[in-house]
Amino acid sequence: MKKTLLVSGVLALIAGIQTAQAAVGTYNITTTWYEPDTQPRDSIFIGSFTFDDVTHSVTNLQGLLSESMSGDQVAYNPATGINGTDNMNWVSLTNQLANGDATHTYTWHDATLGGTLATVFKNTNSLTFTTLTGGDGWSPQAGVDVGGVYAGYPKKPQATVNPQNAYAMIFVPDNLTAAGSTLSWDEATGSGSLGLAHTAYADFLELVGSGGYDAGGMMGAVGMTATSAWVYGAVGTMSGVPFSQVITAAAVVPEPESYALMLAGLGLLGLASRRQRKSC
Amino acid sequence: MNIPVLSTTRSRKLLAKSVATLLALAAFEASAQEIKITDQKTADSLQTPEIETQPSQPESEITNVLALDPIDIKASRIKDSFSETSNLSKQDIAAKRSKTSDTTELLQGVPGASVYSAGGISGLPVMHGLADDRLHVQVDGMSLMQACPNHMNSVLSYIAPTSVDKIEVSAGISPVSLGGDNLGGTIDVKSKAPEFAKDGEKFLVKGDAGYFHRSNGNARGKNFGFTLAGEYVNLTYAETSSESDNYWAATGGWKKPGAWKANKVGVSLGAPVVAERDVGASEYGGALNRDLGLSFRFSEHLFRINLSRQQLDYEGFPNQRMDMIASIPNPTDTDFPPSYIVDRSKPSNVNTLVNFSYKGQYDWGSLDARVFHQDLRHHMDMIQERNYGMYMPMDTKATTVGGMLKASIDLSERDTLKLGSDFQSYRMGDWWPPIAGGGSMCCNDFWNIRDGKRDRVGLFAEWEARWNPKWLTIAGIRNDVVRMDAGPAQGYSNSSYKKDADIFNAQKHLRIDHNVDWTMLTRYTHDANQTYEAGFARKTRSPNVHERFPWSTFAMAALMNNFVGDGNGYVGNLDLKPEVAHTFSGTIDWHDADKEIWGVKATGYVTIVDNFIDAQRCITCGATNKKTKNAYVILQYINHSAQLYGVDLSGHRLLGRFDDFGSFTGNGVINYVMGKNTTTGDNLYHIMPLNGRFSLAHRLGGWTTTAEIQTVAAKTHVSQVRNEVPTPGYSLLNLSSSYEFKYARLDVGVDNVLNKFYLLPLGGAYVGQGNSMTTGGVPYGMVLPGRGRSINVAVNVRF
Repeated sequence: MKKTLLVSGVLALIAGIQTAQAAVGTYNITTTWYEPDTQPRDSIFIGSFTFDDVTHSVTNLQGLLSESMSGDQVAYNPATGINGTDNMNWVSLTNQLANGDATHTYTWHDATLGGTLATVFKNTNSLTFTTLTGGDGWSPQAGVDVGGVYAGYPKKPQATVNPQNAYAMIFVPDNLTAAGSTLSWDEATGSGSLGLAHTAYADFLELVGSGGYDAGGMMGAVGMTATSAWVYGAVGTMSGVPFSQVITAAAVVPEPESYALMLAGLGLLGLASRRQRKSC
Repeated sequence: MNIPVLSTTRSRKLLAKSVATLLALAAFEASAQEIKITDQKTADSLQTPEIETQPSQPESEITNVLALDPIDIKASRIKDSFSETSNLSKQDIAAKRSKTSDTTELLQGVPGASVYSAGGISGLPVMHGLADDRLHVQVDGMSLMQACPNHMNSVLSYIAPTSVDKIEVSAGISPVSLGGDNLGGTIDVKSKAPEFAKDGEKFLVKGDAGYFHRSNGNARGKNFGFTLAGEYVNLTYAETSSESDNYWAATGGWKKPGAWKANKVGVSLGAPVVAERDVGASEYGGALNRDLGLSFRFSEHLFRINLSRQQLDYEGFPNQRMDMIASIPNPTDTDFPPSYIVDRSKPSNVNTLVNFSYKGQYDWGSLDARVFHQDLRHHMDMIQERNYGMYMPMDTKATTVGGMLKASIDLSERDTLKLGSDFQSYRMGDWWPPIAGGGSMCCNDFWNIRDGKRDRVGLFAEWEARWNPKWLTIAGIRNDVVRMDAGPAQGYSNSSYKKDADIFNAQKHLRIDHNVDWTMLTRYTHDANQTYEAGFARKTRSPNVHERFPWSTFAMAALMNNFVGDGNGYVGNLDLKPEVAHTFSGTIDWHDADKEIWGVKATGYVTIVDNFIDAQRCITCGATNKKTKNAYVILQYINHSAQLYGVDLSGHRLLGRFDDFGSFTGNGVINYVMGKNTTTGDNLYHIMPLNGRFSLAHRLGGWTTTAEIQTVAAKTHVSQVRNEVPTPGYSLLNLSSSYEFKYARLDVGVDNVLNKFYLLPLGGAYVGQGNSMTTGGVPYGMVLPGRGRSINVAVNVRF
């Protein structure tokens, strides 16, 4: 009996510790799209999200997106942080929109890729690209298909019809743990994380005021994007492509079931220990 | 797709057989003629008349079948051209007019010549591997300038093929009196010389009109001209217009798959959908050349003044990232900066020329003088089949004032001295207006080159001596002073451009080059059948403004600076030194006494260039840019050393002449050139691979029918720094026939009869569709294909 309790306690504790890693956690993320035409500056999304590794849901996604065509020719420096060394504009993306119909699904789990793609927008709706010739108006493929032209085109003036939206689509792998995740993608060879290759961004903000930038609309009706030609058939409008992504744990909170199992294990171990002392 | 690689081997074999045949033919004929010919030509026979004999079409034969007007033949020492000089006569040119609307393309088939592909009427000439500004290109004696960061307004686009009467090509070693500031020789394109009423005639009235159509690309055009002349006054007017849709390759499948071709079927915002076999952005329209000339003749003095204008509504450039097309601020847009719209009906390029010249004969020799003024307005944006939502207005304005004074003094029967001076004063501005949308193109004018200046003054002296009937020498020296300057740079904003602009603006822009050229040429005429020539020369060329002054390393801006069609971006270099070439060249010319029956000519040359302006990878444009081998990159001009060498071989043979069936003549031209950057060991860019043209011409009465095989070896020697793409070899069959009589000429032909697919070795990168404004917007690795089969028809009438 004592032996049974001891074994049960140890097993429950181990199970409890293991299941404690199946948790809802908050993570920091830095996704980089390489921009060959604006070097040394890249398009970078720096943000955070909550991830449930059981349901693979990504929630509370938000962050800042750099505009690599703005600022001086100085790269973002992680050591000094946003605008520590660089002076690029950073667009605030705060709206992780709820999924709608099939063409308006912004966050979804892809079993083939082994992870979740999640999108956060600047606006409270997803309209980004023109829908004059069809398309859903926001997805990376729709952007490629319309050549990166802004929503509302060809109506003028742009300032009125362009909703000036922006978004970042990130990839969260299923096997994300508290240790974090590092992914890379080589567009030249098509090697690396296929999930990362599916990530994209779009930035259609227009100039505000004169004498400086507020955003990174590119040329006329074409905004700035990054996509992989391996996935979407074309690279971004300024040749931007997925490059790297680093996820680190900000805080991991184990789920209640895990806590219960672990406590049960500890309880069994304690009971076994007490009986052992009594028998002595 | 399957590219016929085997054709490379076939091409080489065919070329090798052809070389052997030509050499065997030459050896046989030379030995035979040496036995028959014992008399040697007198000194006077060295003097070339102003009418060229034409080996491929004997003059006597033309005279037999055409009722030509009487022609004055004046002997002239000045025109004593060397064998390295190739003259394209009126007859040569007439046969080519139905094939092309690009005057540069008329050079195809000239030994040593080839053409960089560009727009439909704006190819860039190449001689012995040296192209574009490395050649001295003249139109009616004017040393004209290009004023575009892509050299879209090629000098030879200023004159239409139908207006060209004669082309003189001096490859490699040209006398210093023909001009300086070049390495590779001179191309002199001339319109028809003024005619005057002859003694006894009160008035001369002449006119001509023509029309052509080519099935590939639906190219069409017309020309019209007239001459009114008395004994002392001549008034001439000529007008030519042409247009074309996109041309197409023999097949599709040569474009890389993917969504980069924004206008795919079913997804188009009104821009035309480009079919798979069509070459996007190769169309042109509204090309109009007009020339009004007034000439006066007084005794031995000829004064000419010509006013001409070339204008063009639009012209696509499939190997450039922009096109010549007008765009204007959207009138309904009140924002600043405004958005733009394309306007195809407005001329995007207008070149206006005033050319005043004088030529006089005196007891002591002759005097030539010229002053000209060139005014050029040029606008670029994008033909909307690239990307319907993309605009980038770019403007260039340039003026050139030039002139020349040359005296040819007959010192004695033996010696002629040529003294002279020429000058060129070039002013230009190259700016790109801002557009709505923020980002990279707001909010100020981008000044690629502001207040650009390039002034050149040259002085020369040349001594020509006929030592005896066998020996002729020419020795000349010239000095050119080139002064270049530019104002401050400015980007669209203080964002991506400020750092580069600050670096450029902190430097002194004034550059003064003192260039010295010299040429030594000698000809030995062994007998009526054999002539040998040798030459040694030093030639110098100062950089052009777009090699020295473009300053921005920002990819989009750099991509706008490119005149070689390789898809890469270029950054200027203020510290470039002038290129200095030393060339040694030798020519053997064997032929029958009248050059009618047979002839073989071979020219070998070696050119060593110090400070050759090549390119290196931009060192501040990221690590990937430095090392990538499969992408378009950003380059910066830099002085290196280079070496070029090669051989031109040409020949003709009258195969038979029959009373009832006419004559049959075989012609052949083979060109070989190699170019190396001896600093890096890399190959030079756009070196034409071994190639040849072989034709059989049949003439009967006014009919001339020609079957031509054009064969080109694979291009395997490619420039690595530019990520140049190799091309496979190919062979084409072309057929043409013409009928000419006093009042008309009809040309009918089929180019690429077998409709073979091929890639142009000098075609450059295909970036004629998609997002061409970025390094990766159009997939790397596509080469401009050649035309599929085309049926060509042209008719010209004279009255």
